[in-house]
Amino acid sequence: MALDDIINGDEELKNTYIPYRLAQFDGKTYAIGYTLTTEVYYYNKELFAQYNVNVPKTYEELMNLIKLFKGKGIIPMAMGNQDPWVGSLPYMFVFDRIAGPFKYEETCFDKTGKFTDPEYIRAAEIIVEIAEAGAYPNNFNTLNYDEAKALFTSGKAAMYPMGTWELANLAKEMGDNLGFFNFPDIEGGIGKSEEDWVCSQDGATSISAKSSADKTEAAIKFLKFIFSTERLSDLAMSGALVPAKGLILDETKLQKVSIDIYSQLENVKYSIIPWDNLLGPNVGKEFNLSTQSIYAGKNPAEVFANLQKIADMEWGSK
Amino acid sequence: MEKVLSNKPVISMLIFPALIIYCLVVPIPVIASVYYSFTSWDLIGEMRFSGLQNYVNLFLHDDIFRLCIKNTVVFLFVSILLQEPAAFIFSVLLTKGVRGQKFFRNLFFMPIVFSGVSVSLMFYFVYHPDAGVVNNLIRLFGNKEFSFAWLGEEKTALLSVTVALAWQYIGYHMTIYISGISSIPKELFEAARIDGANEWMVVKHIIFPMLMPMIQVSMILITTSSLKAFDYIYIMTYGGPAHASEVIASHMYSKAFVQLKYGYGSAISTVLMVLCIISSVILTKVFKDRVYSDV
Repeated sequence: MALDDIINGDEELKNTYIPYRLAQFDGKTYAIGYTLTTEVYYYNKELFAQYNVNVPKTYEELMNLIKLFKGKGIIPMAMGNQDPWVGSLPYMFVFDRIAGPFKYEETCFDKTGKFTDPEYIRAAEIIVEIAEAGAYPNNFNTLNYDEAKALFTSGKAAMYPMGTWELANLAKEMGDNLGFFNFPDIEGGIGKSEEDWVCSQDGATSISAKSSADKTEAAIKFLKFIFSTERLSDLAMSGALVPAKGLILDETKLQKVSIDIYSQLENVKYSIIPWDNLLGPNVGKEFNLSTQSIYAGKNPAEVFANLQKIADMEWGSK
Repeated sequence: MEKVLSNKPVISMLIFPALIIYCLVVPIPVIASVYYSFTSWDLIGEMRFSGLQNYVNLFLHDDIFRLCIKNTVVFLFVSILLQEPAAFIFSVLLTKGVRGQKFFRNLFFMPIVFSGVSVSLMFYFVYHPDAGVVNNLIRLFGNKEFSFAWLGEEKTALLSVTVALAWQYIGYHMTIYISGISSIPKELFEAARIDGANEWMVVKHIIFPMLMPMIQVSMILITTSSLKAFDYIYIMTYGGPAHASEVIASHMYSKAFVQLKYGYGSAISTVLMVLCIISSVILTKVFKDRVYSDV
């Protein structure tokens, strides 16, 4: 059953709830998630301090960072694209910054847009720009996931685009040295780094519409209980990442990185869901393979035309 | 006792249990698979009958499938090229009675007993751009900066896998040929030498024709197993990069078990089965007139 009234009617739920497109149907919300996975650019604070640089706020600054680190013999960004989804992460960020958070919905959700639209190709050109500036290690397109991670944790790479499932491991290896930032804004683009984050929620909790009245009432009570600010804050303190804002966190007991993530979450207006999840096992895999081919030097227009063909065959549109 | 064993009803009765088990394990699943190929099923929901739709999509709209057919054929011919001549040459050399003959026979046969999975994993590391044996040897003797991803570049991925497969199975075909050569009557060789034949003429006119049944067996085995090749591809390249090393079997796996299009995957497996049957029939016909039964 639709949960909008319950969420809006309860003070605590209304303050903590972060809207999530996949939990919605026909404009109404049907589930609340209690685990969050987001994807960010981790960075090595020590290396940044050593070369006196700050977190990039614009695309120009990011490119300058890449050139600077490369000049000093440090790999600017660790990336192991042997699992092709890894390389699609920068692509999703760049696409959002150029075309805004809703454009990808046309193609990935509504199936009305096309991969051959100019924004997709422009985004591909930009990720090639980043790769050609020397941002990634040699042979990154076939580099193993674990090896790339090791490059970052051993201090050989300054930045590392990756998801928060690695947060615990990275924090263990790097402690307070670990920082993160969201991909910066691109000038002239629509998406904003403050508001648009690549994240997905799990642990969807919903209430069946078919239960009897008193069972439904008990379920609603339970929902309000487990999603109360106190319960969510406790869950966050235990180390899990929770998709909620306005939590009460004990800064002394939680890692700085996690605290920073929660404070950034306050500003999140839009959750970009990783595209390969939305597109399904066929088109999603082909999308990842497409970005991998583009890194390998294939022409983006051709690659996306191919991807569109596969999408058309999958979804039956002409 | 003999009366009992040659009694036909007794024979049928004794064979019956094994026949039941065989039917359950081989023919029935094959027929079921062919049936599934005419449906649309995701293993979870309901099974919808869709007639020839899967086959139409497969042959007309699936570009990856066309690439798979090409890759499978390339895989087959390169495998034959790498394994058969070498196996033949080794078998001729190792039946001459040279010193250490038995040692070398055993050595070349040994890789066959390893599991395909462990050989694939080993070659995965052999081909590794940084830590692999191949690149390190090239660095030792030449370019110090050389770094090439053999399994990650589309031009070399498939061929690299065939080399790994050849490494494991040359000994297999060599052993088949050795057993064939060993059964050629010694008198033929003696007679040929008396008539003044040199080594090459012995090979061409005696060994090669007498080995025809073995060559036929070897070719049928290598053809059917190359057409079906899956584990090497799956482990070393997973069909990549971007389907450059995708073969029929790996495409079938991807469609049936990853994308949960079981009907479509069954169609691919049916096509593969037909391909294997056709190639076996062709090979048998080609060899029919060349195989001498008894001299």
